[in-house]
Amino acid sequence: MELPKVLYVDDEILNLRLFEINLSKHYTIFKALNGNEGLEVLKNNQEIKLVLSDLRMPKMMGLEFIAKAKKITPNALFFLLSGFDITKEIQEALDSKLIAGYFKKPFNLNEIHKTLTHFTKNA
Amino acid sequence: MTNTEFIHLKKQLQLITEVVSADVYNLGERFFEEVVIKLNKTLNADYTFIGKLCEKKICVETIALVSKQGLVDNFSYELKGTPCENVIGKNACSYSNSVTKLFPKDQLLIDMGIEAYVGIPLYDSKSNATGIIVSLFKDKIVDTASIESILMIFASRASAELEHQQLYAKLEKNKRELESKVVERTKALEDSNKELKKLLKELRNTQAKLIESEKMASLGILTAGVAHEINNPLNFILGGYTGLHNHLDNIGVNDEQTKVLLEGIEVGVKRASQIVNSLNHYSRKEDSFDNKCNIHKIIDDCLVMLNNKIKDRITIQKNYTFTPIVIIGNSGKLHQVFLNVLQNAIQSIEKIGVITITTTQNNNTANIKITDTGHGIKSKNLYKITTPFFTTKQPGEGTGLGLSITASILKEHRGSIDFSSKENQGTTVSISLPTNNN
Repeated sequence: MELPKVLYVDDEILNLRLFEINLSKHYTIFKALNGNEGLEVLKNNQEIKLVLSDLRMPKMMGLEFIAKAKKITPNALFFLLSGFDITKEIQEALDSKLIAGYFKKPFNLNEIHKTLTHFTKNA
Repeated sequence: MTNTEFIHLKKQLQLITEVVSADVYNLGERFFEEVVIKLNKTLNADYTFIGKLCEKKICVETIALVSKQGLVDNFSYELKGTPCENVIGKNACSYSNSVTKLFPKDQLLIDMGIEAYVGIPLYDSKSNATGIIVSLFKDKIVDTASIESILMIFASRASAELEHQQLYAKLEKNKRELESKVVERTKALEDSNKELKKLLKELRNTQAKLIESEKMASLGILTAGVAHEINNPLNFILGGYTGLHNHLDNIGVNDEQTKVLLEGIEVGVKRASQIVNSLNHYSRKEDSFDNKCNIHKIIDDCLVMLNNKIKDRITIQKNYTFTPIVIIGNSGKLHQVFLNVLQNAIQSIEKIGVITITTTQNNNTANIKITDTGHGIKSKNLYKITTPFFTTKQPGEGTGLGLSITASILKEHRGSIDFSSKENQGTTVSISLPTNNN
């Protein structure tokens, strides 16, 4: 069976590599170090259905990237990662269904896997 | 010198010697009286007096008046029509006989049956007329010149004394005025001193508050940055831990030691993450403050959460107001306030004890007093307990953020928190919150 494809955008390369090592058994993982790279990956791989993005990144912030990405892959599910507790803007993004979920750093990879599995099964 | 002149001079000298024989120069207040007595006797006069010119300069008040029988009560008389009118401010005058015929309007002289008059003017050191010395005789006199010269000797002395007395009186008056002014000024100074002290205290308080709010503001900026920066490395550790855990499972390493090592990493990350989380409080200000918060219910919720630490060892006494106290604010944050305070109260009680919770409401303020019978707070620590990261607890048991966050939440609700404590007897935490914020 083909593994679900996930794009993870984070300016910390170590986060990307650890994510890959821990979850590559379950997903085909695409990585991007910033929003622009992420948008490029999505253009070339429109079959990606799961996108995770860090909130605070240089050049383009997570929510801006997600808003742009949603136009490329409108059917994909987007998740936000952040070191902050839920803020007003995160809550608004959740309410407007811009993002499907939010994980607080440091995140529990097993929990992320569980949540992603839940969404892919229901999709 | 003729024999007559010699006898005349000798007589004068004798008169002078008699007058000054008594120590008339050291009499002080009784100077005038003693002088008129001596003069009257020596000059064989019927009356002698020293008078001072009144302020309007139209009458004379006697200072000392003597008759052959002794001192007489002082009186004052108008100058007009008297022989004194020609003396005061002018020159010595003598009338050896029939003085009443010359001054028929001077009823006093007539009544006294006076025949002869000798008067000497008194001047002060600035040549202002100040008074008069007069000797009156019922019989005519012969040697007016001798009498005049003797009176003149004492006139200058009397003038000086008069001036001295007046200056002294003025001095006394000035002194009294000065003294009362000093008292007045001292009081004014003391008052303004008190006022200054009060202002200084207020200033210090305001300054302390300003420093505190500055501190909290910079702490907010700092912690927001730190929280974010620390969460990424924590993410590395947790990711690394997860991967390592899975890897060791896959290769079949699951001995006790490995478990302890892995647990160390996991617990460490979680605890660090919790601290970073609580720091977030300082930077998050956008939370809503429109919840209806029932204070009694919030306290009861907290007691339920803490039940496993209370049961069997701590008695909770609740003295709640009959009607519920409801304030508008952030329910979650107010829970945090009472959870922190109650948790401290519980932790302060080593074995068994009592926590008393009393609520009152007056005007637009709700007051909540939480008293414990715990180990209390050292007075030197009392002012530090709301400082971020100040703790007396063992490492790992407390971050030193609880009361700092509590105070900051109460401030957001326009409330306040106060502590009073006695070591080994217990602590009372007084929280007040405005209830009119709807």
